[in-house]
Amino acid sequence: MIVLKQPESTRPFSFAFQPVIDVVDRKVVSYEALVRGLGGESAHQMLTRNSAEELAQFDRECRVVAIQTAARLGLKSHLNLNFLPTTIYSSSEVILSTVQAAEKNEIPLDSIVLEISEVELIGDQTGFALLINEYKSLGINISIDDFGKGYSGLSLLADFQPDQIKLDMNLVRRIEARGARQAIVRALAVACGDLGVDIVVEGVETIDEYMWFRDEGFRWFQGYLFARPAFEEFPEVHYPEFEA
Amino acid sequence: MAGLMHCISASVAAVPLNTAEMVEILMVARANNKRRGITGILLHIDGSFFQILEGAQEDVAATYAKTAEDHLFTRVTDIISEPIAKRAFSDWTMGFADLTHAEQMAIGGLNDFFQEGTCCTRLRAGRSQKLLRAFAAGRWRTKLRRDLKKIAG
Ligand SMILES: Cc1cc2nc3c(=O)[nH]c(=O)nc-3n(C[C@H](O)[C@H](O)[C@H](O)COP(=O)(O)O)c2cc1C
Repeated sequence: MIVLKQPESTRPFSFAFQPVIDVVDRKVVSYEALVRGLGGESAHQMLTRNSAEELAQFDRECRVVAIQTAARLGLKSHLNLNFLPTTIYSSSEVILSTVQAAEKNEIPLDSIVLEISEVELIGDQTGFALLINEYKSLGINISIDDFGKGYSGLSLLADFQPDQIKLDMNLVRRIEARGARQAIVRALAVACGDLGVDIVVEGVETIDEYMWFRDEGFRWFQGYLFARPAFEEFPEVHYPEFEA
Repeated sequence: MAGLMHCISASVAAVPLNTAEMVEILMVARANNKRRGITGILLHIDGSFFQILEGAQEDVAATYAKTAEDHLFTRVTDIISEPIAKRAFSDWTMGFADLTHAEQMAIGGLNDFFQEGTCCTRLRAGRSQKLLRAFAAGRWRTKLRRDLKKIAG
């Protein structure tokens, strides 16, 4: 069991939560935990202060604290957790503390969704596949974040299939007017449908973006349009009106 | 701990199979699977098969290798092979549904796999369930093209 170095009251970070919603059933299917400094700094600002070793320790602590915080808030849905950049390859040990924290807080492992950024995966894909298989055998769900940001996304799908992908913002932004992006996203929807991979449309900011995806049959969304991340809170969701 | 996995594949009957032949295949399959601790489901429609095998890795591999050699069906497409935490078909040595006759989908328990939004959202549904629905909706149907050899060279 990992022992957190700092008691909760003096820990310099905590979490904000942003919902992933199903607009058809009008309910929250997951919350993504986003690390925040107590002064409101983003994860990126906090990271630059740490050495590699501290970073790995911080990475593990983050998931443990995110689980504790979500449990305290009465989590009933899935919980999306992140790896900090560069920490995913360390070893499968990195997940042990996460598994223990989930068990201790009575959150089933199949409610945990681990997000791994596509751009983190350009290196050792074999090592990555082994790691992922270990998570899968525990029942933990795998999500590829920022899908479509780098150039590895499609070849990634060829070799292993996550439970979920989250479309990169660059594919989402102003999609209603951008034909090439529309074509790519439609093709992705077919591929993911055939492979049983769920697509979450992330970073949705405008009604027009939302309308385009909704008309194409997408149902899982995350973005400012529905709810901003809320600090140590599960925020209220604004469901688009026309989805009566 | 022997790791569990599932192996999801599509294939096509090499020759038309009648009901008696299907029953015979299923009886052999179920006897073998019971012995090996394999569970799963087989769907059929118009000569297209869709199968999910679950069990310990070496048992699934052995069963898969054996069926791949079977001359009764051909063009086996591997869709997904991956570790799983628990079985989706733990009670079935090999469930079977012929979707050619849609009313048979009422087979005990099977309905749950096709219906959406009953107890859980699709985000919670496992890969097996999602792919069964995809097949039922018309994906992964394999066609035999017997006329290809006639193309002039
Ligand atoms: C569509 C189809 C599905 C099959 N599924 C299985 C199966 O799940 N398990 C199995 O052992 N054999 C299955 N078989 C039969 C195998 O291909 C093979 O004939 C059988 O395993 C041979 O068993 P035996 O060595 O005991 O005679 C299937 C055959 C067909 C045509």
